[in-house]
Amino acid sequence: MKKTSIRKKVSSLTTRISLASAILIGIVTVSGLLILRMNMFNVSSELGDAAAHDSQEALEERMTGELMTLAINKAQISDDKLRATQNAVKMIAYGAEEIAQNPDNYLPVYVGPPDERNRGTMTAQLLRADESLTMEGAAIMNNVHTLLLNIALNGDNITIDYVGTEEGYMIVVDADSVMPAVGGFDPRERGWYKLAKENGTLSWTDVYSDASGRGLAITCSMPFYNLDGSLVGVAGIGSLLDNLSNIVIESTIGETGYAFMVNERGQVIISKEVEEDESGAIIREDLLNSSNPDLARIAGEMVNRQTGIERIIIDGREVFIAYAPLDTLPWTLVTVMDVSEAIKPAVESKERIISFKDSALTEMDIIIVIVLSAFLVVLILIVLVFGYVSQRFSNTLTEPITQLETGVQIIAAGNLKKQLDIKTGDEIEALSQSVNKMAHDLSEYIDNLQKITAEKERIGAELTVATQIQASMLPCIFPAFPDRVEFDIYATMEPAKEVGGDFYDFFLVDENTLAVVMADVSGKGVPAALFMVIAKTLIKNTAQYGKSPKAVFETVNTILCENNEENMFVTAFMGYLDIKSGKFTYVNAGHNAPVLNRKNADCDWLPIENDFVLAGFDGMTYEESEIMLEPGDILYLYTDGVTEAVNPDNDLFSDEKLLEVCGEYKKLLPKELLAAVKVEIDKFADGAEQADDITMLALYMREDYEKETAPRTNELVVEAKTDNLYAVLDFIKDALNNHNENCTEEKRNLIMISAEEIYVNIANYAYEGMDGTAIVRINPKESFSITFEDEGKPYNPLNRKDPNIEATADERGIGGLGVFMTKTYMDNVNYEYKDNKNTFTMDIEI
Amino acid sequence: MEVTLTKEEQQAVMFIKGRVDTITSPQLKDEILKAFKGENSLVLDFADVQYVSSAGLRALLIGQKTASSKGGKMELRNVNNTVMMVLKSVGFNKILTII
Repeated sequence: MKKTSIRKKVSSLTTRISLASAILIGIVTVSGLLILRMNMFNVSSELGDAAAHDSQEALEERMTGELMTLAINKAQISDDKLRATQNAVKMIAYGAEEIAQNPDNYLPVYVGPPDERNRGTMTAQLLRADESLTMEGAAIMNNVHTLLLNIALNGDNITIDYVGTEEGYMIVVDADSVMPAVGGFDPRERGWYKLAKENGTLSWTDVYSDASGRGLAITCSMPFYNLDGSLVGVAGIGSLLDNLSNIVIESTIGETGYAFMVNERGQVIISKEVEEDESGAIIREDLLNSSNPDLARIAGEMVNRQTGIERIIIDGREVFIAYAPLDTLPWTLVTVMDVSEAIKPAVESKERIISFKDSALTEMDIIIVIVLSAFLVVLILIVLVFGYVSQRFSNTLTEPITQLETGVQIIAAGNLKKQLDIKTGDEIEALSQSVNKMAHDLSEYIDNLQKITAEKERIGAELTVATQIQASMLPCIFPAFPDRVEFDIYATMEPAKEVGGDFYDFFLVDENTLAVVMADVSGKGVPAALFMVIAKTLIKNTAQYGKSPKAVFETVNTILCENNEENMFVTAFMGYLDIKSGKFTYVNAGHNAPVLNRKNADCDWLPIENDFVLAGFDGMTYEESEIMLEPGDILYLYTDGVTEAVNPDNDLFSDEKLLEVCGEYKKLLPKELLAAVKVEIDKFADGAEQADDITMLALYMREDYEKETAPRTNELVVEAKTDNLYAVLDFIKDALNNHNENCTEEKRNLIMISAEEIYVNIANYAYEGMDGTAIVRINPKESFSITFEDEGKPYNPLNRKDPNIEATADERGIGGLGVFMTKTYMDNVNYEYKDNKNTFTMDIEI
Repeated sequence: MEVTLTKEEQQAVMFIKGRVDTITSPQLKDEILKAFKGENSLVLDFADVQYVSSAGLRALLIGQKTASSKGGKMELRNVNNTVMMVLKSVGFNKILTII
């Protein structure tokens, strides 16, 4: 099952990576912006504060300087004003004194009493303290009125000027003309008069309310004297403080600033704040006793006529206060201004910087938002673009894989001709080429396999045939020489699964010489089988020419070496038995040493020359050895299939074991000995597969010819085949020859014909084409009896209907005569089916 | 068994030497059939035959049937005692021409 395709994996991975990178970049950028914003906030705050602080300090410095200067300037202006009044008073006093000291220089002048008609015009008037004073009494002093009029008219800020005398006259110029002419106004009683008379010099009164109700006023007065130094009178000028205030005090300083005048007692005498109480008395704030300690302290400085500026709190407001003393009077001019106003530009500047900072931050925030939004848009774009691109990319990447998968499935489904065409230039292409090669190789392999399988089946069939041919080439009819009583020979070959190259042979070279051969061709299979056939035939043929074993082997070796391109070879043992003498002459070409089991000695190896194998090397010579075989001796030949038989643990049967087994079965005759050895081998192998042919041959020198022959020549076991017919017939003929020498030729032929009919019946029908054996037994005693035994299907030939021997040729069938003939020729015939065996017995009197 | 076919004055004569048994009779049968392809009359010389089994008799019967079907003839000559005894035992002395 396909869980997640590579395409999705690649797509998802690239999208995730791009998304992650984009988010990372976004985080970095935004955090950068935020850090920048924070730094900017801090920096601009500091900058704003510093700028505001710096400009505040500068402004404060400048403003305090200005405020101080203002105080000093205003003090000077006040001095100037007051000095002008002083000068005017001095001029009047000096004029009046000139008149008083030099009366003779002046003519009497008339100055009338106050007349209401003159009201509104600066007019000189003469006032008398009482009735006793005549108008004429002031006629000379009246000369001063022109001076008074001039000063009053030209003087600055003068509301009234006058001259009072010790006599009680008062010459006054004003615009009111309301004062009482007689008895109502005594100058000598007035404060200004007394102050000047007491001081003896120019004096200033306190501030007072103007007699004419025009507001606060202040008077400057100065005494004048006779030549004798006696006081004549006092000159004076009255000024309204409003005028002074207008000029000096009420000039505004900024928006919150103001000025005021403090007298020598620390009292505020000129100020906007100066007011009168209900009785008209002036309320003067006493700064020396102010509840504000800073103000009280500064008032002390003022009284001491100090100049300075300070920053204090007044009425809860922080102010700069500057103070400067006047020259003309012991007064001090004070200027006050709110600190807030003084530093207002600095504050505004700070606020501007802060607001700039705020707006910058706001802009920054907007930028951040824009950047974030842009980033979001870019992020979405990246996701979309990357998604698309990665989709395309993974398509590009996985398309060949998909092709490959589809192709491989097609190939896996069995279409090996399918060729992938992927040109990606990468590993996929290499893989597809490998798959192509694999499919191609597989296809070829399958073709080959089919061919090989067919070939193998054919070869297998041929091998079976080869095995059969090989087996049939070996003499397999025993007793092999029923008419030879001097020896007995028996041989077996158990072929391995695959046809091998073992063979044995025995034959009579001449009437008195028996040849035995045991050989093993190297390798297995058809080549070994073919080589075996050649070797066996060559040996036998060469031997038939009457050559000695040594000559046979040398000749065969030479022939085999020719055209031996397969480099095959044969290990072989060959011996000639001189039947009469028992002399055994033998050669050995690299074969296993036979076992010689003498009747009167221990079992042992036959001494051999270890000459080279046959077909190994051209021109080899072979040494002959000789021994005498005595009656009762057994010579046992074998191939390495015996000694090298293995058990499941891969242990070998071994030479020692073979010798031991041979010794153990010393008493057995050839056939039984070979069977016993085979049983031992099977016991040892314990089910392990037989790897090699097991081939054995035993040659026994008989001791007592007569005793041994009888029981041993009366039975023949053959494969039930018509090919073996002559073997059966020869067996019977030999038996007849041996035991029934008086038998006529005709009778012998009839017996043979009868035997042929029964045997051929068995060979053709008993096993229905399968392999099987037929046993022929002869009992030559009394009447000659032959028994045929087979294990084929039960069949009684005697049940067969006899043919009509009177019929014509045309009426005759072509079969069915054989059994009838047997019944006719033999004296007795009998059939029996017993122990799964068909037994047919016939006998005839000879 | 050896078989030799010769002519004696236009008469085809087949000399047979050896045993006529299960093994050899197919050969005899083939030789006889072959001879009858070119001849209407065939003489089988049995002088050197000592042994005839039922298979051999079968071959002779087939030969006789072939001769009859062709309107020709097959004759046996020089049959020895043993063989004659065999032929008689199955009544072949009556269906074969033995001279």
